[in-house]
Amino acid sequence: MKFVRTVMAMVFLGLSSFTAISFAPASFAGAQTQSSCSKVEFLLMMDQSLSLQSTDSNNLRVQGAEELIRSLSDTAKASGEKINLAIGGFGNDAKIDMAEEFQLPENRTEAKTAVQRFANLNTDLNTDYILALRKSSEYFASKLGVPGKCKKLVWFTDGAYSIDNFSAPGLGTYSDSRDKRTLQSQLQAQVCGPLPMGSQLREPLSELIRQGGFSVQMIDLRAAGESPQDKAERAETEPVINRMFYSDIGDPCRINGTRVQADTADGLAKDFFREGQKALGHFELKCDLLNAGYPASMVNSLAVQNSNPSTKTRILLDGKAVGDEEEGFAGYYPKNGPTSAGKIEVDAGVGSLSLCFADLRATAVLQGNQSVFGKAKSSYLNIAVFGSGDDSPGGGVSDKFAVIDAKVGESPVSVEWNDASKSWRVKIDGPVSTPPELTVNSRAVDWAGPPFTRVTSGISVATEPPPPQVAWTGPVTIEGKKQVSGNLQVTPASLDTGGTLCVQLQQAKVEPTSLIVGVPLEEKCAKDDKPFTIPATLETTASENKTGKVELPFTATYTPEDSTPISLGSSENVIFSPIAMTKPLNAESVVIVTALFLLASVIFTMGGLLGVTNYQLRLPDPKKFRSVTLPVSVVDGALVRTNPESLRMEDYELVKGTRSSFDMGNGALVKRRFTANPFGAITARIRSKGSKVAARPAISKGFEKAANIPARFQELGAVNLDASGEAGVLSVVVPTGTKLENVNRFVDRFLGDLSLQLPRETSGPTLTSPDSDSSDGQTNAGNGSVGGVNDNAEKERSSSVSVRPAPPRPPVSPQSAIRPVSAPPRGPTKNPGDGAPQR
Amino acid sequence: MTIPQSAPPRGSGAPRQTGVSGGFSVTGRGNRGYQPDVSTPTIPIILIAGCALISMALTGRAFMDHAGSTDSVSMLAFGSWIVGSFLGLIAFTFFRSKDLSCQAEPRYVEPSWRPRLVAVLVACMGWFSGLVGAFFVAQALARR
Repeated sequence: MKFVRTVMAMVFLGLSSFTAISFAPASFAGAQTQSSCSKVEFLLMMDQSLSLQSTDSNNLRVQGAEELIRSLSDTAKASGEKINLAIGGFGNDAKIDMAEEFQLPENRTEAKTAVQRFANLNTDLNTDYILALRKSSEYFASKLGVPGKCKKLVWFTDGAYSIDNFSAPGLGTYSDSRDKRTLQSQLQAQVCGPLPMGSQLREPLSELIRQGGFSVQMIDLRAAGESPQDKAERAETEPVINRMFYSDIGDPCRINGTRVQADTADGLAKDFFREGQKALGHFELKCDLLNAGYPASMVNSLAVQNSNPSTKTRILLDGKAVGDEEEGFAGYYPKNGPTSAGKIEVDAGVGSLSLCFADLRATAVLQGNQSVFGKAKSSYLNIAVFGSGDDSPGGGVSDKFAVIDAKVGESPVSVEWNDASKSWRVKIDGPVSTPPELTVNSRAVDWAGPPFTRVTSGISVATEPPPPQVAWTGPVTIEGKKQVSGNLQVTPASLDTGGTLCVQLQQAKVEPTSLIVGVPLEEKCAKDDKPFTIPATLETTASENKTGKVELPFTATYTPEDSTPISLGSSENVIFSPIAMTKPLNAESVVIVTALFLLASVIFTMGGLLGVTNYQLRLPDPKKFRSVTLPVSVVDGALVRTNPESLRMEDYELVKGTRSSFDMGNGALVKRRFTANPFGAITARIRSKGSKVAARPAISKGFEKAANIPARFQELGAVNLDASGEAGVLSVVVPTGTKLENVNRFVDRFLGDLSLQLPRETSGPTLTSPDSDSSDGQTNAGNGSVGGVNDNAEKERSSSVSVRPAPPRPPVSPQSAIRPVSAPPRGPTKNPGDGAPQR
Repeated sequence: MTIPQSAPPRGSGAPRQTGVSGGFSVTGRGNRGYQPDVSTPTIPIILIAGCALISMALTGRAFMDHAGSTDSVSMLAFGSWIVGSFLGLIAFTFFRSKDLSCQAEPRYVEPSWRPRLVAVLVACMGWFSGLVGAFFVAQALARR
């Protein structure tokens, strides 16, 4: 049932996500999505038919509707929108209490209270879809001045159009028929038209819905519990519903909306979320990308669904929560469009992201020179992809998040990512005499959306090569006061022209001033057939956590073969990625913080384990046990019942004790242990003052002053021998309701087993070798030995003590080697009156 | 004729009966014919292994992202600690609890693949992986 509740919550939550996104203002809702609504009119229409008693007996629809209200409210709060929520019901009739309109987020509590009354509204014989849709149309028609895109109907139903109460007041308002078959057969005509004979509707319902301008989100619960009649009615209704939602655009029955069937459990909520987002023009984004820190400059809106609907989900911008966060859902709608910088991550708590939908924005930009050198065998142009942020060199979106492809004319050209400049290098083959036309398509990685705006650029043919690209290749993180070495890589924009390229670096402008750039100020030249490097250094003079920005201008000259140098354009800047300046690592702090983490993980968990272990050390509940005691004697080295008669029901007694201490009734006491060892054994202690005890089951076998036994025993036997070692009292503790015959058998086996463990001075060599032919035809198993190990122990014992003849024993059954020891005939009882064994 | 009860030698590949002595019972086992042995619980071991794997994946990812090289705390590294050193040990606690309950049964048998040892080893791996994540976090904090 909990599962179904979760499913319902997810369905409604998914619905709320769908509707919530559509309320996003135009400025950030994306080009493909709807424009903003100053106010959204929202109607929740709930089924109240009798069939809900079987399909939703636990009123999970109410919980789901509460989830819907909660998420709508939170979304309204986050986006600053106003939502006017009305709640209606349908069954025999359709009603919307106009007095019960709730402004969200202000009246969230009242709305939830209002929807709770539907828990008891499930007695109507009819499920009248026609009344529900007509009432909804009338409701939305009354909302004058509200654009259709701002009117939303959520229509919950569990079945099909079904009429069984022909005296229902609403029926006569749309049909003069009172025949079930006729009414069912007219459903399609009533909804899609043309109207059937006897119809009282002024127009077909689909037309009324279109006039109302609202969209319909139908939640169709198909839980188990449908009767054959329900199924038949559903089969008749299905084509009409399908035509409403899924027919061709030109079909007069087609309305704006979607339908979700809640019969595929949690997967359905996921599907619904997906389809809803698609309908809004949003596209699926692979959720893994959000773990890598998505560039916020690309994100126009983002909605994520958690696989665990009860887990708080947060969208973080540079580690700070943004947008509306919910259990199982989070949305991010930056009010002024994508931010210029920052990274977006999602905190899914203990859950994981199941679906992510986003509206992304980015543009491919041609950076640097816009021309190619006609003589060059190959020339390079730089393309970077930017979100809404600054499109300065080095600030492009990483190839983790965007890709491009390029064509010159109709021919694809080679594209190569250059991490230093955060751009793609597009290779234009030469030599060329006419200006090539470069077309660049860019798109987001693992995003189902369309490519970003295509960039088509006429590339001019220059008589001189464009300036080269110079980029820092070296460490981008500097720890403490330190100097690091790297290179400035000079990449000619035109390769292999036979000329020489020279670069003249100038004074750098650096922020903060504690960052110093060391570069040679003399001109550096090389052939333009391949990239070349200029050594450079970065030095920090202060130990601080800052991001350094470097602006290093340079000028370039090109010297063709057998000609004079040509200056290539004006001053350009070296491409520097932001330099992360960090304080040096404080080893002591690292050790202390790591130790704290270590302690936290160990203390909490070991503390928990210790608690669990001590909790498990509790003894079983004595109220669930009964005890039996009977005297035992040592006869010829074997423990036997003093009174050989079988136990009787009257022998049972209540067990005295608590879960910390059991009184066995024979002088032995079982006590609970406490341990400081989280991995300690779950044992209890049985002991007797001034005498020795042995117990089964037990960790130790023989007679001791005290013995360890499993604390979670299901039955327990203990013999407490007196000081002489010749007599004692046996006590057996068994669960209430244990059959007497089983207890008798247990006692006999127990005595047989313990006979081998008797103290030496009282035990005799009562066993013969298991492999030898016994003179009396018995085996050693007759005394209750449970294994060869015990037999060997007995052999050893017999070799060290005087041998006494063993008493005759009964034959051993093939099923069990453990048999009761033959006991002496029962003597005169000490309690002849009641026949109960002596305690 | 006796029933041999000596345990098989370690490493023999055979399951080892490790229940307490006195393997006879009045509550059914041993009195109503064959009863299945009680074995070490495996679901908690799967949970432990899951935590360890997730933690190791997160730690690896954090390492690739140069976690700890700046003062920015890596959420991946923190998540690794939470999953490996915290949730993993909670899963181990759960395992111990269930296993100890099973061990109280007279017919407790540890399978030949030594799940108790495996659980300890896997929990240690996850815990250590989480600790590496904690180390990355500590590095970032120590730069502040």
